[in-house]
Amino acid sequence: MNEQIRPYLIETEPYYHSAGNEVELFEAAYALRMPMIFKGPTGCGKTRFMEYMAWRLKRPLITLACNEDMTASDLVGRYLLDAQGTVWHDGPLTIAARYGAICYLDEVVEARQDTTVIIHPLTDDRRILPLDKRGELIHAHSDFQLVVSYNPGYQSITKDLKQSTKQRFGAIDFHYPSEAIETEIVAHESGVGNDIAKRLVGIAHKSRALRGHGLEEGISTRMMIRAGALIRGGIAPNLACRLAMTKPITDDDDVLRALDGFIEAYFGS
Amino acid sequence: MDMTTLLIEPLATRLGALQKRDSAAHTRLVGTLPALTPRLGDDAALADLVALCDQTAAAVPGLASDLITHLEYLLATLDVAGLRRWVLTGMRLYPNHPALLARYFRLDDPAAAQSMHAEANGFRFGAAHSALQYYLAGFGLPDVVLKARQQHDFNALPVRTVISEGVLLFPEHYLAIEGAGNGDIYCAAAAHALAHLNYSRRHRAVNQRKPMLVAVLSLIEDARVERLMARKYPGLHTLWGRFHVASGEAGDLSFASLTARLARALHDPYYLDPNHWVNKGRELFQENADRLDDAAAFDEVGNILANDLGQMRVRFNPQQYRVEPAYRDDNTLLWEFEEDQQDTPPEEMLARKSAQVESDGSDTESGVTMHILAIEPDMARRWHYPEWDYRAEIERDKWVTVIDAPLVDSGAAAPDAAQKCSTARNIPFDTTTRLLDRSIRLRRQYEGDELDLNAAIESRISLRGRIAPDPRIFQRTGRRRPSYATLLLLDLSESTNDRIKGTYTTVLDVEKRAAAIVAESIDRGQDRIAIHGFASNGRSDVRYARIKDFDQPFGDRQRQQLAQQRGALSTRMGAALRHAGSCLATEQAEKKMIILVTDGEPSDIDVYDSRYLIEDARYAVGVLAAQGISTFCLTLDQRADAYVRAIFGAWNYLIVDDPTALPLQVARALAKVSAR
Repeated sequence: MNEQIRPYLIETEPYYHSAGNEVELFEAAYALRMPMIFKGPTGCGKTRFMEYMAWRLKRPLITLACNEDMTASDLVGRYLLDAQGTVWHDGPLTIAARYGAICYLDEVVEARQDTTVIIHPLTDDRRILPLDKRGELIHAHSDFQLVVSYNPGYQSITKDLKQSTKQRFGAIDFHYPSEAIETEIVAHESGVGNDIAKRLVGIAHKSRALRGHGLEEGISTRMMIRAGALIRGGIAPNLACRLAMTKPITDDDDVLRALDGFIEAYFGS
Repeated sequence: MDMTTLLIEPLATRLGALQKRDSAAHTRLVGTLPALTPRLGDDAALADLVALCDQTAAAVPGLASDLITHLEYLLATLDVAGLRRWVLTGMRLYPNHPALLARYFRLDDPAAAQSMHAEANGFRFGAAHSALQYYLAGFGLPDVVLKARQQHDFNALPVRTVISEGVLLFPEHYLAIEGAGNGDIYCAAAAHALAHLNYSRRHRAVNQRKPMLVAVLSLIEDARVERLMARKYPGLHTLWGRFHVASGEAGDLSFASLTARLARALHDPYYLDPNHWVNKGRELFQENADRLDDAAAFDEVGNILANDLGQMRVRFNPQQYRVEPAYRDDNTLLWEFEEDQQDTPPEEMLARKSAQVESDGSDTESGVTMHILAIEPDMARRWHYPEWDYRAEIERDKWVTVIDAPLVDSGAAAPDAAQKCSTARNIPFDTTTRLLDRSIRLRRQYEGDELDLNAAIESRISLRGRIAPDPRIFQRTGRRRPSYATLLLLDLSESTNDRIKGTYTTVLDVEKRAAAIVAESIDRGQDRIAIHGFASNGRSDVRYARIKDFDQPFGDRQRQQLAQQRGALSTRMGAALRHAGSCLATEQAEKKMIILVTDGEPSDIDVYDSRYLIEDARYAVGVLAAQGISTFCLTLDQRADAYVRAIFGAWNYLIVDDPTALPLQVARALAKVSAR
């Protein structure tokens, strides 16, 4: 493996609890080097799944969080100046394509559409990346794969992927896992007992019922894990839940009161 | 100034009722009203206050004067609803002791001060409503309708929650003396209702069971479902526990006390009660505690306990019994009473039937009798506005009363008046006006305020690489179009019923069509529009109708509202403009405008000087302009030149020659105003 991408290898196994057949599906997709989209609400385990799969497939993982100010050169690379003159620096996408890593673009819709089109030649059967400034054409390494993630829930209508981009990808839909699995995940990751984990999951499920009725998004698995870790650290459960689960997700007093009501129902006050 | 002329009608009737009942109290109240008015704010609160005094006079004859003595002091801390709770607290504390109650009213009783502070923040359904709705949605009841249950009779026992399919009626308020201050009592009530809805068998036939047995069985059922619920949600046990305050220390052997203590004993394993019956109840319940799902076993417990009560000669009066603690419901969900013996209050009947009844909040009470005046729903709100008198050159304060309520609701829709219009989409706003917005960054510009670093570096690189550099190395902030809040104000005076020459369409029809087109063609994502209408009947009665408000969609209901508007009365333009301005005041949009569609000059029945209302409207337009609200007038009156220019200024009006083209003209006017 090239030294350039060795630091991106994931050494230890990340904890991931499969909630369906996504591992199997992704392996099949990787075998074909099919570009993939991960869809799902925030904090449901998309990024963790990606890390886990990178570890499982023993491929380096280059992650890039997208934002609105990102330009094509942030992805493919640019010339920079040094004492001798101009030097070309590969961007993360170029490194991944050149040396054979998995490139993971997080929250891809945050990037502007004219930026995302530069992945087009990489994601169809050509698998090439033209660097026009350098006058170079990179043929993607045989191990290279592009994966993007996004959360279809909260993006505005103006922020969406172009159809021409979407149709180059396969997609896996992620949801919050079922109650039993989620309890197990929370208990494992935060170190609290099953009983407390179960109550945390109960609160989160109640909050997810409020989605569209005052909340944009319910309490995620990640938030529960944080709350669990606080509880394990000796913070009273209701305080931990308020700190890590309810207060961050809303500023509406009435919703907050209802969420605190759920906490009270499980943990008292 | 003569007070009575300014009084609104319900207030006058209520004062009249009080006068009939207790003339001393009436005199005293009329004496204090001027001092109270600034504290209360609006007329509705004033009317509530008078009704409260009247109800007090009816419930405890002769004591209303004592209450009125300290009103000013009380209202410094409490609002009228709080005062009502405070009065109720006094009545609960001293149900049959007028002397003690008088002391309470005169603030000679320490309990009075305590209760005043406790009720200052109050436990009202209104404040808890939306949180409750969210709470219940979390528990899987997103569509349940929540309503307040009012206590009409002042002397009656406190009301309890009523549960039925699809509707929950919560008490309008809980009193601090019922323990409402111990925790979130509405939350506890909702959780208890959820327990019933999840675990209780509903609508069992009462058959031959005696009322006492029904009450005891309901109590056991309450405890059973709460335990089941607490098994899943352990925190609820603590929540409910805070409201169990009954205690057996006084040795009270009444049914109410015994059952309240049994409820507590069943809830709290550490509670000790001296009474054998209570302890027996706890033991019997505990024997079955490991099979909570077996409702029949608990019926048996209830049967034994009720039987014991009979043996103990404990008397039970269903009319005097209220379930304790206060958060519990009245248990009508559990039973199916036979029709003839049922004296369910009408609102409970409503709750039961409400699966079919659409709740539109318009349960006005007709035929209100004189002895107790029910508070009418606050549908018609009154606003006072100044008016400009050009002769005296003064602005007369609170001169005009605008009644913000639906106009005549005549039922049948006018045909085709507000027909759906699929044409003329996206016309209204001029898109050339732009506001600076720093969140928009334009990169790679030939000119700009700062360097675009990426572009600048690339340009240097090109220079070094001996390539012609891209000269676009600047960035600057972009602009966007401002958001608009538009209020389309329709003249609904009598003259709008005139037909347009050569057609069968009235002016009003054209106005409606124009309103519908504008409402539909507006960009909902960015701009907000409201359609209001007005007509006047003298200065004390300027009617103002909100056909579509800013927060409402232009849906079927609004279309229907629009179609139902009829032309009547006169055109007091200034008052309507001022009120429209106050409606716009709360809007957050960057540009606010009022588009007035009218067919004639301002006029009203109590004004004979035609210049008076024109000058007043001109003044109102000036005030609005100072508030940043643009006004524009579209008039169908061909001879309007003389006055519209005076009112709106040279550039802010348009005389529409062809009335049928009004819809298009309204759209043009919008574009014109927004372009400024």
